[in-house]
Amino acid sequence: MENVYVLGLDRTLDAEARVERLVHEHEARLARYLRRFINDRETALDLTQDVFFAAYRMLRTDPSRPLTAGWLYKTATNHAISLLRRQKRRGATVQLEDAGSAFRLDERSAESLDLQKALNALPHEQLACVMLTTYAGYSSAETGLILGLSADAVRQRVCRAMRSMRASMGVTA
Amino acid sequence: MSGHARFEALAGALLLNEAGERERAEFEAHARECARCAGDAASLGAGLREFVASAAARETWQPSVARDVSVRIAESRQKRVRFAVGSLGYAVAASIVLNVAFVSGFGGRAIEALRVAPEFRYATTQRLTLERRPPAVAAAPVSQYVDIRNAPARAFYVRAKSPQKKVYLAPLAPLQTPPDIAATLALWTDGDSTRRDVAVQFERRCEQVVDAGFATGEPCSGPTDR
Repeated sequence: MENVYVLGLDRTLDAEARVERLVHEHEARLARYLRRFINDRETALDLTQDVFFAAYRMLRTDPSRPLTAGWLYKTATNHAISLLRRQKRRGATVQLEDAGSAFRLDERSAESLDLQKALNALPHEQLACVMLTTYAGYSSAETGLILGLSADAVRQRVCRAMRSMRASMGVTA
Repeated sequence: MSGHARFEALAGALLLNEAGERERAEFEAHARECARCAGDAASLGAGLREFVASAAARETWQPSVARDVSVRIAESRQKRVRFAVGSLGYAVAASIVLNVAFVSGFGGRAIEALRVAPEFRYATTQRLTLERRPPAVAAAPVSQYVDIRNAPARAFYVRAKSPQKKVYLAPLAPLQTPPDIAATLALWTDGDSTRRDVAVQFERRCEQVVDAGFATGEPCSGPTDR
């Protein structure tokens, strides 16, 4: 159960050293998660820095507080949802061609772009459930702990999100 | 959770491979009667979840934010140090200013000036009223005056303790003029001067009584006190 895996709990290290260890272990995975979530590479990098800096501030103010991987994903998800909501209020739209530029050349496959398009069409709550369960690999119970939902609510949102994605991507049985 | 929402949750559990055999059988029994859930059941075999999960494995992007995070942490530490040093500097400067002000007496005079400052009263419907208090040093202390009507008869004058050392003469009350003791005494001439000496007159009277020969040995009564 990865969510309860305690990170950086070595009391002999200061907050900066513990954050360095966190960054070393999770930076690539967290940045890819955020890029797929918000569909922008540079913004994903900025948000990744924000998440690790928030972890540093938390460890500096309360060194005895355990820091889990779920806390990192929860903070990243909250940051991403806040950003998407701000973009929605401002009316910012991202074209699919621009969205494709956020990926490397070897990732610009048709399936990947279709997947990104289907993910972008999801409501933020369903997107968070899908990303945490299918992309980050958390169970519905762990995702419920991260998002403050029940496991059944997470499963229900995943079901509705998959239904929407199936319609968007034209997947047939 | 209501009826159909529960089957949506069951479909989600099947999608995430978290459902048991009993839950799977319950959902399939419901899907045979519900067209919408039948579509969800059909999509379970599409492998959409595996496709999304495999998208993470196919990505080759290896970003690194370690250096940026370190720079940000260092900047944060420098900001904290600057803030602490700045706060300490302001506190020391304020302490020095206050000490100098009170040692030189400026602070005390300023506080005293604030005490006699005029009061401003504001009102939304009235005119502004400026009231100035009379200076504390203008009024002379009450204890420097003596009400001569209530003064005792023998109070002849009152010397004020003011810095000017003025003497306020108080006239005697007209109906309380003390009797002139000397006027009742007879003039006694001893050859050199004429005096009105009460003691000498009584001494001579006593000698005359003794010489007359009555009430010898008894002390001679002195003059009555007036």
